Parts: sequence; structure tokens; C-alpha cells
Amino acid sequence: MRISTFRHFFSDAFKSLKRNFTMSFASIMTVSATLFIFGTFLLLMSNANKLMGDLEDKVQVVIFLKNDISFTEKSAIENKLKENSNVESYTYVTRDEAFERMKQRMGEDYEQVLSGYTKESHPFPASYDVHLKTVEAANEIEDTFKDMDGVDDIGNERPVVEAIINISKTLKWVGVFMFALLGGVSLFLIVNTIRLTVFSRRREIGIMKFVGATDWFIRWPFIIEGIVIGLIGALISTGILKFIYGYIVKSITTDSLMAINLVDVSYVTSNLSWSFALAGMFIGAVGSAIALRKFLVV
Amino acid sequence: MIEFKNVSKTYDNKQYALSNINIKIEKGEFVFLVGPSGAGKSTFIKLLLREVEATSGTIILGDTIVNKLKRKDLPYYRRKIGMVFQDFRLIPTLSVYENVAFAMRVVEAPYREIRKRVPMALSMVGLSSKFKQFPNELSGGEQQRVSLARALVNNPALLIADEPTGNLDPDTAMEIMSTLDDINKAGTTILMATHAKDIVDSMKKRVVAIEKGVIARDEARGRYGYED
Repeated sequence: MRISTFRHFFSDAFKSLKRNFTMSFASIMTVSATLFIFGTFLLLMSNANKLMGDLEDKVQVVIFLKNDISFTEKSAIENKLKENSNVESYTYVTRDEAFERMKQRMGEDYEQVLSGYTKESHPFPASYDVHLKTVEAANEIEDTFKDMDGVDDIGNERPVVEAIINISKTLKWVGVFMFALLGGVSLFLIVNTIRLTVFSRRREIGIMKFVGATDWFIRWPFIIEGIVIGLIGALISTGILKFIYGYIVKSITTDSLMAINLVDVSYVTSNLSWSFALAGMFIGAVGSAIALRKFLVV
Repeated sequence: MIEFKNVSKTYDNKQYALSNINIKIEKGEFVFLVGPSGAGKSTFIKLLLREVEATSGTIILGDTIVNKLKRKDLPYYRRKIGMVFQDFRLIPTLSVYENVAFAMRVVEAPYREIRKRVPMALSMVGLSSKFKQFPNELSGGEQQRVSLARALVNNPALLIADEPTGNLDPDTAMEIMSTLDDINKAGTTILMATHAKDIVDSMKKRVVAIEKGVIARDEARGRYGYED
């Protein structure tokens, strides 16, 4: 392709954008609204995922030991923990440590509750706190250890674990569904707006056809127009999203009462902005191509 | 140059638009295509442009078998033909120069060629001085000259004119005809569909009359042959 042809495509696309300013503006707003709604959902989803991830890290199986556990029983358990490939790490918590920990956790208000106990009489058992590599292994670990000698009970946060897995899966599917739905809606709107600009230039297209222009020669300026519309729409939605999300993150994290760890604002400007730009350009280009299809037939 | 062999065309649910047409037009000829409205003139031209496909038969233009053209080769085929219409079909937002240059840009001609050939085409139709003006600032005759320049600028082997004088007053029409005659003398084959009796009778060119889908007459130095 010649440079002059290429230049012609671009100048033609921008001329058309200017000439049909209202329509171009409507299309840009459509893209940015779609991407904004989608982005809002994406941020919700990634924050939820992050929360899930944080929770997942905290999940552990606790093997509570009998008070009269023998040394051999203890080392048998410890060997099994070392061998097990699902175990990320484990720590031994003595009876004393368990007591101290409970005191700390209950805080000043509950000091009286525990004050009746001494180091010898308290009911808290020694335990192995086991960190897992994956949440899914929790049940298997429970089965492996619950019948071993010296084991009193297993603390398995099974319902929590299952809820986490379910929510993650659901979120993924809702995400796919939302993407398809919003993508379809914005494509439909873009096709219709670009079809109007194509319609206003149908004579010109007809003339191009009878002087021997190839389909692609006719198509390119419109596709570039669509891409520019998509790109500007993506930039606008990224800007608005960054502004609003930045504000939310700021007001939540400065509020010390809520110890929620949010996805960083830079996620919007780095990851999101690129995928938005690509998605916007893709929607614009495909929309233009579809809008033109009918007008290119002979 | 042009050859139709047993060409028929039927549109959906209609009778023959053209039936069993056989004709040869040699390179450099000037041919008038006459006949009542709806007799098949337009279909004849559309077949040549491959806007419609023949139902049966063979159409040859130069070295191309038109009815075997693939869709992707169509634009390149159409570059061999210059078209002029009754309604000029200029782009109102482009100047005279741009309208002619447009036809060359579309076929991706080099910039240098465009700069050279557009003024040449405009001087051939006598519009050199008006290259900066826009179509709505020109008279009908001038607009038709622009469209002639556009049709010629890519040096087509064949020029098809579909009622080029239909919207023009008789004097202007005659001027356009003399320009067409000059173009023909320079070597371009011309096929012109028309209802203009005076023009056909005065030019004394080959006349092909199509009536009810068949060739009714084909005379070397013919006359229009219809009352008005």
C-alpha cells in the first residue's frame, strides 16, 4: 500500500469524524458508557477476587492434639506433615502458646473470662497449624490426620473453603456473561451510528465502486473512523473510572476502621487501560465493517 | 473489443430483459444505443459493468470474459471502463480538481501521476480554468465535463455514457457531443445510450436499437429511427 493512500485513509477518516460530529460524539459516548459499566464490574470482580485470595491465604487446617500425647505419636504426625505434598508449611503451637494467643485475641474486655485459669488448668490444647498449598486439599488433610493416635480433633474451615470456591467460580461466569452482553449491546449501537455516516456517504461509495475502488480501499477509512471512536471512548472511560475508583480507594483506606485491602488504582491505568483501548478499537473496527457490509454489494 | 455471444438476461419472476443478444463492437468505434425505455438498454450496460450477471451466454471485453469474473477481480476490471451518467454523480464536497483526482486516488495511482494527469484530463474537456470550483458553482454542461474528465483520467479502453445529455439544453448537449467525438478520435471506444434524436441523426455513427430485449436494428451510419 502506498504512503499517500495510507494518508488518504487517515485524512478521510478524520474528515468524516468532524463532518458527522454529532454521530461521532454519540458513538464515542456509547463506547465509553459500555466500557465504564464493564470496568465498574471488572473492578468489583477483581476486588472480590483479591479478597478471596487474602482469605485463601489465611485458611488453615488445625490439628488439635490430646493433652496426653506421647513423643512417638507426635513425631509420627510431624513426619506425615513433612511428607504431604499439599502442605505448604506448619507450625507447632504449645499449650502455653495457645493460652497466650487466646488471651490476646480476646483482648482486655474478656480478661476476666480467662482470669480463672492458670497455665496448667486452661482448656486450650496444643496443635499443629497447617498452611495448605490449595484450599481444595483441606478435606484430604482432615481425612489423613483425624484417625491418627494422639489427635484429638481437626479444625477444618470447610464451609468457608467451599463458599470461597463457589463464589470464585460464579464470579468468573458472571464476568463472561456481562462481557458478552455489554459487548453485544455496544457493538449494536456502534453499528447503527456508523451506518448513519455510511448512509450519508452512500453516493460517494457508489462512485468509488464504479471507478474501480477495491472493497478494502472503501472500507479502511470507515474502519479507521471506528477505531478512533473506540479509542477515544476507551480513554474517556478509563479517565472517569480512574477518577471515581481513586476517590473510593482513598476514602476507604483512610478510614482505619475498615481493614479492607483494595486493588490498587494503578490497576485501572495499567492493566485496564490497555485492554479497554484494545476492546474499544476492536468494537469500533468490527462495528464499521458490519455497518458497511450492505453498501459494498456491487 | 466488445462481444456478446447468445447473451440472455432474465430478472427474477420477469420475462426476458435481453434475449439472445449477439453483437460485436470493434476498438475505436462510436456506438449509439437507442430504443424505448425499458427495452433493455440499461440491462445491456449493466451487463458490461457486471452490475448484473448474464443468465446465459458469453460477454467479452478486451481480454476479459466478463461473466467469468471473480468478485475480487471486479474492481480491476471496472478500471478499464469510464462511466458518465445523466446525473453527473460528482461529489459535492470536493472541488473540480479533487473530483477528478478522486478517480485516480481510488485506483491508488502515484501522487506524481495524479498531479500530471488531472490537469491533462481537465484541459481535454475544456475546464482547466475552473479546477478550484465546486460542482454547485458550475453549470450542468460544466458538471458533465467534470464527470467526463473523471471517466477519462484513468485512460479507459471503453467509455460508456448513459444518457449524458439528458439533463442538458440542446446547445450544451452538442458541445458535450463534440468533446465525446474528440475523445473517440483519440482512440477511445465509446458506447452511448441515448434518447436524443437530434444528436444521433446529426452524428451519423453506428446505431444499435434494442426493442423488447432483442436487437431490432444495427446500422453503420444510422439514424435514431423513433419519433422523439
